[in-house]
This record gives sequence, structure tokens and C-alpha cells, in this order.
Amino acid sequence: MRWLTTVLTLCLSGALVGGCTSFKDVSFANYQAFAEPSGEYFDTPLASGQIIMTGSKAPTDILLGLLPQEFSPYIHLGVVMIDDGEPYVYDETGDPSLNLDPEVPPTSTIEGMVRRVPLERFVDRYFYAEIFEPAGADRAKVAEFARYHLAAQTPFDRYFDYNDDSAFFCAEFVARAIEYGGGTRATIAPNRPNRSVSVVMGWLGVPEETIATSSLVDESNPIIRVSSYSDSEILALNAVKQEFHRRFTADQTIGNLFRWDGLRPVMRINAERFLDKSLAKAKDLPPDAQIIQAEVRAIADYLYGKFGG
Amino acid sequence: MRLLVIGSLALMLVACIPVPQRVQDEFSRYDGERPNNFLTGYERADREEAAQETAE
Repeated sequence: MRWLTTVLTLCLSGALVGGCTSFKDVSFANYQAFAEPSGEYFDTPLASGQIIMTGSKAPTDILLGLLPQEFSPYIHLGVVMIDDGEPYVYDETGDPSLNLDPEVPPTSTIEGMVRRVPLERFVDRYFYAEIFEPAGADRAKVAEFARYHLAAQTPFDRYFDYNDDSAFFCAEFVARAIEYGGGTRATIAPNRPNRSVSVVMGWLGVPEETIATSSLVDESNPIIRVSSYSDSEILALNAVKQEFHRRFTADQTIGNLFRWDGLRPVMRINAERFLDKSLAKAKDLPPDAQIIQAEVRAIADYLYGKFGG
Repeated sequence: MRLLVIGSLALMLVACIPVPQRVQDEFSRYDGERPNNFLTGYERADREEAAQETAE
């Protein structure tokens, strides 16, 4: 009987996966193209060598978004590739392994390498994804760089060191690909000064600087946006993160927004309530960045009191 | 059933990332006078009241 169950499960999963292997056929609630078809993948503008950036509402991602001096709504990025007629994302990522010594940070146990993920599966993990042309770079060269490092199994850079060419972190992989493609070298900007963040970054052994994503693509001109959420909800999520970033000044402690549950940071109720209220409000609002930002700020002022100008 | 419980406990132990005290402190919420731009109106009022009582 078990073999029958196994066969049925395999057939069913095969049917499901088979129905979703083409990005074009996957029905996200929100798919928008802002450019002409590239000719590489049906009638979409998708092409190898483009850059995909994602936005997320996961607490870890919101926490990481507080670090850079310049606010960016994006958290993870990779290179779009069309392989054998199907779209994929090549990205650099890693996972920490078992460690029982608190003085050994999880970063020092991270193992990973450049991997290849079907585009729809990649997108499905995030709140939304946007695809861009690589700033000033030849797409074919960007794709060549990505292919080379997938084959070379270039390892994940667990210490986020931009000066170390033997391993990459996600933004570094994309930045190096754009540089190889003739684009300009990415801007490395220092993190905002904050004692609390410095304590955590010091433990993780991560340098206090980040790659400015705005130096990799023209953030105001995506060629594709895809999400299970509406544009208004996407704008509200970005506005919430921007408001967190604005209020998280040099004197703030990470614990004001997050607690540690033994495995990962978790948002405190005050922060979660702000996010939930803003996303709920956005459902009734037109997808206008200014209107949504004003509404989100009004919710923050109501919950936390007025702050700054 | 007992095996399942032991297994779950073991999994929880493995799943917990050990964090040094100085880092855990940063994830704590200080109710004292440390600046906090994310307090609700009630919490701000409580703080002000506590500060006033201390002053008196």
C-alpha cells in the first residue's frame, strides 16, 4: 500500500510542479511588466543578466534594514538567468550549522555557495520581488559571470568582506557581476552609528559597512514587479520599514523593536501592531507612494507619538 | 510518545543559537530611562509617572 501512496504523492507533486515550472504560467496576484518583451522568455521582458531584488517582512530582514545609513527597501538579490527556456535566479546564500559555544557566532559556521533556484520558487519566499536592468553593464557579461561562479561553486562569504574575492555574499555577488559586465563599482557605505547594532555586528564579526543597492540598479525603474500582494501593500511595507529606519536613531537599542526567541529575532508587539495596522490600512488606499507614506506615518505618530519633522 | 517528547526537546536544544549575554542584553527591553522611540502612549505615560514618583 505504501508504494501506491508514494507513487500517488510523486504523481501529484509532479503535476503540481509541472503546472508551475513556467514563470509565465504562475499566477501571482500581482504581476506587472514595465518594459517591452526581451524575446528571451515568451512575451515578458525577462532576460539573462538582469538583477532581481526582494522585499520582505521577516523580522530578521527588517532588523537588517535598519543598519545602512541610506534606507533601502530591498533585502536579498540575485541574477536572473534563462536556462533551457526556463527562468532561474542565481544567488549566493548560506546556512549556519550546529554550534553550542555562545562566543562562536553563527556567522563563523555558515556554509553555502552560489546556487540556482527556479524564479517562481525564489519569488514565492518574499513579500515581493522587482527585476531591474544592471546599472551600466552588459547583460551577457553579467550572465557569464553568474554562470562561471555557479560552476565554480564559489563559497558564501560568511564575514561579508567586500575586499575578499574568493567568496561572495549576496549583494557582493551581484555587485561583482555588474562590475565584470562593465558597470561601475558598487558604493560601499558605512552603517549608521548605533552602539546596540555595533555590539551585535561585533559578535557576528561582520564589518560595519554595506553595499548601497541604489548603486547597482536604477531603483525607481523596475522592469517587472511580482508579488502575492497589491502595489498598495508593497508601498505600505516599504513605508513601515522606512519609518522604523527613521525612528531607529543612534541612541536606540535593538531590544526596542525586537526580542531574541533563542533562534532568531522576533518583532515586539508594538512593532508588529504598527506593521499589521499599516498593511490593513493600505488595502483601502490607492497605490500612491505619497498618500501611503503619509498614512503610515500617521499610524506611527498615533502609536508611538510624533517624531521629528 | 515519550520518544517524541525527548526528540522534540533535543530538536529545540539544537535549534537554539547560543548567544552571549552582551548580545542578549541588546535584545532586552529596558524599562528605565533609555531612549525608546517605539513606546505606545500608555507606556510613555507609565514611564513619566514612574520618573515623577522617583523624583518625589
